[in-house]
Amino acid sequence: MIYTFEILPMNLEQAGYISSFIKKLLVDNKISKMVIRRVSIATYEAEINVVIHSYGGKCVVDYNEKQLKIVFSDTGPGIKNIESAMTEGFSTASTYARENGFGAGMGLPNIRNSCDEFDIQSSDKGTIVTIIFNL
Amino acid sequence: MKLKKLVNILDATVYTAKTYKPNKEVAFAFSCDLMSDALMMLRNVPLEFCEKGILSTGLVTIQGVRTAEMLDVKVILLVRGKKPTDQVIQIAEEKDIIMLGTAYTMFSSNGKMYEAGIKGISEI
Repeated sequence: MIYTFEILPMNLEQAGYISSFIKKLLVDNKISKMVIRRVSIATYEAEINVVIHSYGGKCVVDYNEKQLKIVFSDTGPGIKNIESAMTEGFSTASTYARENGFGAGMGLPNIRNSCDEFDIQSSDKGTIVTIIFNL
Repeated sequence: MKLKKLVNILDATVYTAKTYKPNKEVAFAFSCDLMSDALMMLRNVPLEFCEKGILSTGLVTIQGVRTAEMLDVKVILLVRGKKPTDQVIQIAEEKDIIMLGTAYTMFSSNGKMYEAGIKGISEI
């Protein structure tokens, strides 16, 4: 099954909706709780990243009984230095993000450490984060 | 410990009347204002930690509720007298999360919880 979602920029009220949907999908399919936790953490962090850092984007969820693949893509402005962005504590987040409990510079490292496969591509045209979980 | 005992110790307000369960067992807590810290630190704790856990925070936005939802933490304790909006309360209740509030600071409320036997990640 494939599900596609739009993500609006700077809309923290909506942020978490997709992660909540994915979590429910996995609960309904009786996936183990520890896997669900890892998926929830990674998807929520990734969803927040698109909301607080990008001009907007989308999320495509590809689910089957063996694997969950989620692709977050946005339309810019991109990550200037991916290596720095993957370093714990490095952050370019706004005051708005920090006031809402994010922007500690833990997002990307947390996503990478929660999933089974991780890929990130970025240019000034946008960023694509792909995360895969073995179910 | 029963949640009602914790409410008494912290002189807490129950914001989510629909989801409040006075006899719910609580045994653990984690405190932070940055939700990424919770998402990182609770990633590998035993399931029981979150099931019987309390997320203690000064963050009063929807994102605190979402974070608790993602981690399966069922109790949020708002410290420093922070009050949630009706919208935040509604979402917490939809997600079957109990939201409490105390006037105590994070430091003081944590001290009272620890004294009463609530454990943190370092103690498990």
